[in-house]
Amino acid sequence: MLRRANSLISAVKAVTAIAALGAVVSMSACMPSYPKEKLPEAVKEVCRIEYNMDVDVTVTDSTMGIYYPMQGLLDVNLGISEKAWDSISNLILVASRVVLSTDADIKFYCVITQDARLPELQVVIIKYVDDIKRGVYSDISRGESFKRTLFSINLTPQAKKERSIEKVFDKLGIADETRQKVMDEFFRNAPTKLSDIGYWRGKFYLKDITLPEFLAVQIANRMKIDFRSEKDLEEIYRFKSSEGLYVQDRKKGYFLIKFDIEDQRASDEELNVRMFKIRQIMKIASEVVYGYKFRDFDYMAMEDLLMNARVTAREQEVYDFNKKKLPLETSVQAPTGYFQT
Amino acid sequence: MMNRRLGMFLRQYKTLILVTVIVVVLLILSVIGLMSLESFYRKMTLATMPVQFLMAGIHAGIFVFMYLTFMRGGFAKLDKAPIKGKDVSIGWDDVVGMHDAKQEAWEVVQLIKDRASVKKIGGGVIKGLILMGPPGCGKTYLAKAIATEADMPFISMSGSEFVEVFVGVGASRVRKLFKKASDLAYGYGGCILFIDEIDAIGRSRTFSFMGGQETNSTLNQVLAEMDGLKGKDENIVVIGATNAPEEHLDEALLRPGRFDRKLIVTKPSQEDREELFKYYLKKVQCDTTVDYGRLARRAVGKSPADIANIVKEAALIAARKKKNDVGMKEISEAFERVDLGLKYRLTVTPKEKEMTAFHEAGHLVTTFFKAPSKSIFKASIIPRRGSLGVVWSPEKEELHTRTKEQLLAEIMIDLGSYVAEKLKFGTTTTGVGGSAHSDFSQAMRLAHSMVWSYGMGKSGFVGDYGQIPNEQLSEDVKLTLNKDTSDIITDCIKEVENLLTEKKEVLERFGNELLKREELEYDEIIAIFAEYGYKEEIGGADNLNDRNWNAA
Repeated sequence: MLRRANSLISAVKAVTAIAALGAVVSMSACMPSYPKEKLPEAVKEVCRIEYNMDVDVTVTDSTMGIYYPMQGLLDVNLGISEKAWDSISNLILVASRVVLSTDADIKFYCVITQDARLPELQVVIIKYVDDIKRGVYSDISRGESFKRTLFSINLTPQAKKERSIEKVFDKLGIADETRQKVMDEFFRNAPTKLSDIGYWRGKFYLKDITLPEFLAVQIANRMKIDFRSEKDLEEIYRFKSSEGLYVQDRKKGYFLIKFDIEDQRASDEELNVRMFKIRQIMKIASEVVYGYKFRDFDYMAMEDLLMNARVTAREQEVYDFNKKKLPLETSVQAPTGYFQT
Repeated sequence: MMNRRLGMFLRQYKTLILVTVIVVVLLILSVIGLMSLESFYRKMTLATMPVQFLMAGIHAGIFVFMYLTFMRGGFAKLDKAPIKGKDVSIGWDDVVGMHDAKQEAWEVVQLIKDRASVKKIGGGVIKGLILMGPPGCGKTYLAKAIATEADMPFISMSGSEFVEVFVGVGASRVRKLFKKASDLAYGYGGCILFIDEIDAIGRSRTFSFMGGQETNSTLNQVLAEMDGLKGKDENIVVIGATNAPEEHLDEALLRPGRFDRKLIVTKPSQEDREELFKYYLKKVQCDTTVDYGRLARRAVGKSPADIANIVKEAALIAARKKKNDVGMKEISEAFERVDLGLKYRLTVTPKEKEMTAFHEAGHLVTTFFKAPSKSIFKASIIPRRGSLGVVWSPEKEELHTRTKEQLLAEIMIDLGSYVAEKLKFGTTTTGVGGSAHSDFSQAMRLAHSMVWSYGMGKSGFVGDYGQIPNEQLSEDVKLTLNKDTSDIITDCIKEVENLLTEKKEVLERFGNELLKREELEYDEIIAIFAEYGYKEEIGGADNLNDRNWNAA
């Protein structure tokens, strides 16, 4: 009996010890590696210590911006140099690590890089934190993860804006001091669109990114990728531009996708080609909204800039288009003559 | 003193201490490792930990399952369902044709049943019984009857069922078998464990490197388990059965304390055979004229299984003939079929047929005059079992030893065919030699044994020279022994030549009769001899009057 009691006591002790150890480990897991109070400093420190990069960091509500000026961003062909790609990859890695291990409510991060010699040109990368998590858990493929990343090389919007205004100031002969005042007061505001995000003269032009506007831009971005890289589409269409916006109205809001995609087929096939183009856009949009289970919109408007026509599809049709293999004819509303002769 | 105690403690628990230290160090390292991760990855690791534990558990489960299936469970699995004694359905009365063995076995049954009284007077209980004897003599039958009579569960296993390629599997099966027997003995008050063909595991162990490890370990386990029985108060009786000679079994297996009793189940005697015929013929519709005594005399050297087979064949023959019962004629045919095999039609030339007839006539006449202890039941020139003809002449009674004269008579019978061919045709055929069972092979084998093993050569060398390695024998000895062998053959040929020259008329008659009728039965043979004034010598233990065998 005594022996059995001793064994029981030993077993209880062992279980207690293991439970205590488990509790310590669990509690330590609860503490974030990068507390929200020190988030910008943490990013700067990691970049400096691990990659020897001096970055500027800001946080706007649920969006974190990282700016890194580098030498030799662009090569002689105005493409991103290999070295720059390495730095950008490191920045993305650091940003991902930090946003994943912080208690700050960061939903998006935005990496902005400029060539120190030519700050008017910038590379902007926007990522959604949930996409990073799903990538880590292998819930989405690498290809899908790439498509979900917004990547753009553009002229720094603020630089473009300020240059134009400065020309006006020059014409008016306004003094420098006044110029700065007017500029600060009227022309250096936070951007309203994703395409206006940037960094200029030591200041972030960053907005709090929302999921709908991120998705709108993603749809436009995917259109660019698909129409330019898929052989079937490439043969039929000449992709010029696409733009995605989420327009908030009184109710929910709607996606506005503007596109300029020229048909390259003869006129007798024109209508079929046009239907095919709209079907592709519907497919892309459906893939995006279904992928994010996003239903908080009323409809999607597809604005054909070339034909000056607007085709619309309701939320239900956009969401179910791929899943239920809906026919295009009943899923979209097109102006008279857009699909008919 | 304290140091010594500490030392003792460390010695006693060194494995436990080592394992504890390793586990603690690994845990600390795990915690340090986890702490060094960023919180997201730390959370992810912790979140996936239950799944990892689950996966580890599943993998361990699969491993254990595979191990148990293929190594411990599957290969070593024992699917032997015990049978209750009363369900064995072989009663004591069903055991026939082994009078002496049955009597001994009855004693064993009584000892098993009266275990309590044996223990009360301080006697050792029986733990093992080995049944030895030639195949088909009813060892298994006897074991089953013992189980029925003792009214105990009966587990039967063949020795070969323990044999596996994997070392340890056989031993594992032995352990399981004894465990099962032990459980049954606990539940039913006793259990009989019958291991048939025990020689498969009970052969003398080899202690060479790489040799018979599996058999050794299986036998070792049997020995250990049987020793273990002594210490337990469980009524488990192990019955082993084998037809291997005693010297082939491991000494340790046969020593008292393991198989306490050895029961020799021999081939049935005249009375036993009679009893067996009565027993088996009782099970079929049988003619009232059947003479069991005569059947028993004709079945010299037959095992109970042979007798059962003869009765079965007789019933089949009767059914084919659309008869309602089995008579002596059917039994006679069944004897022929069992002993001589089925006839088959082979196209032979007239010359071949004639030579075969005289070949067999040579055997027949020589047997009649030189081996009066044999009955010539049949002579035939219809091909059977790969031979063109046959003379069927079994001994009138079971012989356990042979005299020199009997052996010489056997040789002469074998050579009778050769001499007959030579006398009749002036030439001989290949029918006399060339195969293991040919006339010459048998004659040479016997002559060789007579000289080399039985000391029957005329040069006076006495002893079993076959036991001496060939290289240790001088060339002179070998030459002399071989000459003796050759002399036996030559002398026998001379004697047979004289005999057949003298009885040429009889030989001619039998040759011609065989050519004409193809087969001669016992009464026809005796009648022909009688025509020439030769009566069959009455030999054996009984007066064998089988003239009316086929007429019955």
